[in-house]
Amino acid sequence: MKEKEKQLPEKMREGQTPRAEFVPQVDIYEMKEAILIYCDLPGVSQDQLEITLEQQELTIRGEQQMQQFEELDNMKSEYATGLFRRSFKVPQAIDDANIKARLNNGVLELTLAKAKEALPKKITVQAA
Amino acid sequence: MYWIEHRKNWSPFDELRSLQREVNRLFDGAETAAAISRYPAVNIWGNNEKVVVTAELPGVDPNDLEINVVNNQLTIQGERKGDKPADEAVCHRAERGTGKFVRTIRLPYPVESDQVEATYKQGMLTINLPRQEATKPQRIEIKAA
Repeated sequence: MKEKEKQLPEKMREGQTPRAEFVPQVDIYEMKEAILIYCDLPGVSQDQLEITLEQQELTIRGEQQMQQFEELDNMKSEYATGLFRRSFKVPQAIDDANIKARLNNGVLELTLAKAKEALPKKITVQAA
Repeated sequence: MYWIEHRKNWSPFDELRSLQREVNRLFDGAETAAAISRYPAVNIWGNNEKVVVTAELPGVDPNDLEINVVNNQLTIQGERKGDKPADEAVCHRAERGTGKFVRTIRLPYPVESDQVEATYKQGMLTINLPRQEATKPQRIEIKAA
């Protein structure tokens, strides 16, 4: 709900102020040993992307550049480009040294391995 | 807006229908309504010689994309598959849509369908469409009498 509220005014602003920040769409999956985040970032190259993890807050930010065509006029614009940012609170302890990020066909795939302490432990019941 | 005074046989359904008409009219052509039905979003550039169409299509296998051109109509269709990592994965958030899509775009003039080039890079589709030779504007020389 909080995300929704944040998204709305940005969506409304994006037509007027080109420096407004976009909120990219994400999918988040949790597995036993890792958290997987998929983020749609079309037209964003590796060097225009910054991912940080600070005090359990994961931030993806950067800039999508508009493709430029010399000698051609813009006839229709349905999407705009510019700065984008998205932050998440990561509730579990994450192994900072073991974060993998991969950009594939405009989709960022982040793999956050859970720290050893956060892995589920199986407790065996001992017979009396 | 028309108000028809028909108080004699008033019916709540008529009121509802007229309300529906009004709402439909409001959304017809409005940016919000149009944006939902238009996937993928495209930007179009062009001049007298050619048109370039770019579309945001992150996470689509280029083999799943089909692009057709007939005269001045460009059709982009394909499928975006989900990337659920494993069956036992728990989904916390799913904002990225999946499924099949078709979009037809009317170009300002007919294009040479055998010279159309499409590239897919970093989730961006770029289509280059050169104008049909026969439809290019011809300059007419004026002869002195």
